[in-house]
Amino acid sequence: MPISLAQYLEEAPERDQAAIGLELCEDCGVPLQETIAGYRPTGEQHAKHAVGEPVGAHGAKCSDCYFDRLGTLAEEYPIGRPTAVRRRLV
Amino acid sequence: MITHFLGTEEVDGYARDIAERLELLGSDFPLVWCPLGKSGDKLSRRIAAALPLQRRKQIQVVPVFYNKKEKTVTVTDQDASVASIRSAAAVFLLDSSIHSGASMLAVMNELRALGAQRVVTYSLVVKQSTHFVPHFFGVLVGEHDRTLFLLPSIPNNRLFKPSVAPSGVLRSICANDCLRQSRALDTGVASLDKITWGDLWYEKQAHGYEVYVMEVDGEIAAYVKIKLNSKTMLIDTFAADKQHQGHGYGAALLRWSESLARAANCAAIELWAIANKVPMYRHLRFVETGREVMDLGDNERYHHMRRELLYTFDLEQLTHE
Repeated sequence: MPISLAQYLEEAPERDQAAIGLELCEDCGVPLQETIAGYRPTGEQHAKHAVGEPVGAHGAKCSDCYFDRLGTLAEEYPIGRPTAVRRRLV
Repeated sequence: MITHFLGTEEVDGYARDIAERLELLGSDFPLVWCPLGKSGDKLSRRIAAALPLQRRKQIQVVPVFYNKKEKTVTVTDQDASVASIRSAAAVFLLDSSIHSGASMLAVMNELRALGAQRVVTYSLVVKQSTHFVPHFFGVLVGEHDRTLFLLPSIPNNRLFKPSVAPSGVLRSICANDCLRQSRALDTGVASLDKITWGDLWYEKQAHGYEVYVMEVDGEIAAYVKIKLNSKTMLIDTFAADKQHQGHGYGAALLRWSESLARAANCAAIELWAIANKVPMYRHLRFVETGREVMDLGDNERYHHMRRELLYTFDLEQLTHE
């Protein structure tokens, strides 16, 4: 049965405790409220990449963990679009 | 990119107004309320407080949730709630904020499938990029804005994650950098190690690139070279010196880059990823554009990839399920 408004207002602490409907960061476990911790889906489930490969695992990260992962990745494997530079090494 | 903050007084002002507007519906006043998720829960309390006591006694509540991961809707105690949902002249579906609109549209579809005669929708905040527009809404914000309300504190922007002590100096490249003894970084990638500070300075001056460096103890530890176009930001180059990896400098530079992209109202970030790391970028929601593959020899092969900054979802899928 639906609950009355009065009951609903009284029961709030239990629902808050359960963190209702909130996804957690797959790395640090923080509740993913978009404006506070950020909400960054990961995985390829909804990606429309051109090569049409099968979908992979799907999760979500907070902004801190997302940039942590992206930064580590970029440090180890730099992003590059090397172009001709003024000084040629011959 | 603007951060809007609605204090308790502002939220209560909007709550009083929507309460009055619901009363104006007369016999169509929604007697079943479906707050969506935690933020809908918070907002429903403020609106309930603005209603006359007699009205509050008539209202039944059926909390609803949307799981973004599974894309499923949960209606609390669904079997027992269906009769109330069907018999009510209207159901009130409310949430604090709508970004893409996917959650509210999915829940609305579910309530209609359960037999709701009419679903009246409300959100305190709506982003311009939403695909679903509620019947009533408070504040319409830009696609890149964020809105905070009913919070004890307002989160500041940050370059480093909470567990890392901030260090280094993040700044634009300058002419004096061209005079450094060390002419370039040692990244381990041959083509990038050829790029000197002079090259980067020239690109900034002559071709409109922005180059930000992270300086640590007088040395440049990492840099990012970006180009802002009308709708996208290209991360043209990012490199970190091998000696300075693992301190969060890369994360700081890339976070700053994305902040700039959002501030410039870019819809997407693009980059060139080394071929064998393409799957990792895919995991972080970069998508190969298929436009071009650049092969520089020496095992350096790059793929052009793109990540959307805005909330998007498949409207076709949600409306025809």
